[in-house]
Amino acid sequence: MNTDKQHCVISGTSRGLGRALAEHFLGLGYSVAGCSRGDATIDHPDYSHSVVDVRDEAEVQKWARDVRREATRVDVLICNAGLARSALFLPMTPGDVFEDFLGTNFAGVFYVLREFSKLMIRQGSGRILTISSTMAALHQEGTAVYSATKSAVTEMTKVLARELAPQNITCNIIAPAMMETDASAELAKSEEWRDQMLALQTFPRIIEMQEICHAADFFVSDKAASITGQVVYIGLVD
Amino acid sequence: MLDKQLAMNLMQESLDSLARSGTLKNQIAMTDETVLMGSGADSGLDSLGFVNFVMDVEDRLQQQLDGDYPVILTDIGGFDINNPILTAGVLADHLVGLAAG
Repeated sequence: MNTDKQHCVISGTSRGLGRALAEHFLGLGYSVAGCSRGDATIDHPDYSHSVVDVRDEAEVQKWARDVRREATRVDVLICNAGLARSALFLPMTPGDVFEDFLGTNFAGVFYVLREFSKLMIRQGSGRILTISSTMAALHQEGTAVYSATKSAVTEMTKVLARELAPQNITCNIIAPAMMETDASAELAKSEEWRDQMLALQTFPRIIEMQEICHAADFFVSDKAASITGQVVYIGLVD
Repeated sequence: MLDKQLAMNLMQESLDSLARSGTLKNQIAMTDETVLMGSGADSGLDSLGFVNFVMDVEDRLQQQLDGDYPVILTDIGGFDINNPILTAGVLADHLVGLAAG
């Protein structure tokens, strides 16, 4: 890993938004350390990949130690890894589906935030972004567990924003509407479902990855040094 | 091999380095009874300072013993998360145990 560059850590980089963000930050000249449960899907000299299940506390701790050893600092952290899958009305939601959402979307974000924020506290600077969803603001039927985990991420990020402000670390939340990812493509196999979801958005169209990358650019820029604990909804008026 | 005196020295070096960097306002001479965290803390460490201190101690352990030694508060004998008080002596004992595996 090139130690002269700015360093960005992103969870869930094998596909979807995480991959798009990793490629975006590589394009901006950052070194990027990514992780996923599977092998790397990005081949770039400034990209390093670790196989990590973010639900596993020990694996996340080891990943953070490895990054700390190689990069010595972390300028940007993006907690992206998450599940988006079809769900049922709450009374019919199986316990294992609940546990899956909780483990990946909430515990996974918690472990990554905890381990990498320590590095930022030490260096006295950093930018943290978490990924929520417009679903958390829509209270849509069939999304009780998913939306609850995304709301939890938002609240956790806001509290962390207060805790880390004295160390010049900002923490913000990007909450996109429907994106074209493998997960959403799977869900959108039902055209009726897809049309219903899009109709709930203020801009009833699929959100481009680049739109989310631009929001991330703003939050990590020097101009956003005093902006923390904020949620940006992309595609929706909250 | 890490004994309690070495662990205390290592922690003192860590506090000294935090004082030099400005994280700690004053240099303090640590004893067994120095409260690092919790009610009555007299180490001068605030919450973020304590995080810095623990990370620094972990790094020094790694350099000295060539391995990973994460400090997990709830693994420390007698540490009560509902009444979190951690003295230097208790942490030093924990580090000795960590290093011994």
